Amino acid sequence: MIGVTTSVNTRDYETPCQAVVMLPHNYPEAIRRAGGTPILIPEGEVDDSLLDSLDGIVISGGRDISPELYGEETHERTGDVRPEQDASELALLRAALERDLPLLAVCRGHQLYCVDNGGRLHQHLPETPGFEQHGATGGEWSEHEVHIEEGSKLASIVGTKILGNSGHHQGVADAGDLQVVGRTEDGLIEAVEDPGKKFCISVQWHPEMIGQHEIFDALIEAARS
Amino acid sequence: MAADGTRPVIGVTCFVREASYANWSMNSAILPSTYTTAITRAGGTPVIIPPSEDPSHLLDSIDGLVIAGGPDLDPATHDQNPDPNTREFYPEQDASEINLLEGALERDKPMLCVCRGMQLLAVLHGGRLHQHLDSTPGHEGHGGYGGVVTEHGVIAKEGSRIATLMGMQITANSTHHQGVADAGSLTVTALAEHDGLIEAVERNDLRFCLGVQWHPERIGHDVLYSALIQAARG
Repeated sequence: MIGVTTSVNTRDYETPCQAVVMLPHNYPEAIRRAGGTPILIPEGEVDDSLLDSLDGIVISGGRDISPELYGEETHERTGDVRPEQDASELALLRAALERDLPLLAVCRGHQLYCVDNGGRLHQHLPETPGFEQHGATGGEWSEHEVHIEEGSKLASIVGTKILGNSGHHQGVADAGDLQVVGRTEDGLIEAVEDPGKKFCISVQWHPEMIGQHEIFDALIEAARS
Repeated sequence: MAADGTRPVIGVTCFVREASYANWSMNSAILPSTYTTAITRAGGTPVIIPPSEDPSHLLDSIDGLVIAGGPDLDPATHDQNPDPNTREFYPEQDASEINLLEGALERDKPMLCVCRGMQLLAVLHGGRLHQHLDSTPGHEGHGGYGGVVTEHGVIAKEGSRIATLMGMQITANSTHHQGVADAGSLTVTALAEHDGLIEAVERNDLRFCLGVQWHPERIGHDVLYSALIQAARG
């Protein structure tokens, strides 16, 4: 059973402007396709009875994380932050890693994981020297090649070159204590891992959106053992 | 699984819909957060069960279940053809929830079935639905639907679980255009005060099996969620 984090947003659903828990359906689909059972975890406290039932976790993509977490002022293009979600996902992330549960962190999840390990973010890539052309943002998507370090866990799964999709406006400036294993041509940190853990992979792009099943296959295989 | 004094894990069903994220739109699992916050307030740990072919194997990992409200059931589930007012239904979602609910009944998992969930519970027990209350003799003007919410009185039967939890006179919210015409083998334990529509159903041979037509999570009827969680601990 794989727990996936979710986001609370305000949407017209059943009644106007209602708070709803949301997750793009391609995450549960990718987990199921790989042989896992997805369960969605709403924001809130994390406790042992939940962790006991999980074999792995996915920290999903979503809104920007609060710059306070890496000691910076909020940039004018950083918006829609939700400290409750940051706190909830951090608690789950830490508790899962303490148990050495297999982890896949995606996009916002990747950024949060890096920040929690002492890293920090570029708050708006289109205005960050050297990353102005990184990729599409604002509802558009683009693709770019990511170079993966030979000998890394990720390389053993996907090889040393992979196409990542890009729809993010923030990026990891510093991955803290984590091992950087993937970068785009412009040098942006696109993948990190913790070789000290059973399975701990974090990527800036969205493997669940572009059919990179091998990453989910590997997560589920690790969750089985 | 929860032991005494811990927070039982309560699974809640959800729908999949096209929904917007920042500047784009994606097929998404979606659930009003009133459900998850009500479960949390009542002492449980909520997890959300996305629809799938057969999610019933998940039941071994949860302590209790909430079947949430949502669009109409496919009238084929109760051997009817669609009424002109039954326009939005999702046979795959129905199949997923039917498998989950049947599995939960078999395992005697504590369950609270809300609105559409109560209708599904009734159908699984051989019941059937009024497909559109406004064109059902005796139930015209039952209450709000299509985004409109109204309130009305509900009278619970003495000695029933719902009466024990909430008393015999209840004020319920109403935001449904279908209703239970026949609860099959379930025990009917509450009726709408103004038109006699079935508003609550129960099974007393199970640990906790309660269906309500209204939305307790939206109007502070936390006592129903607390009772579910109490049963899930046991």
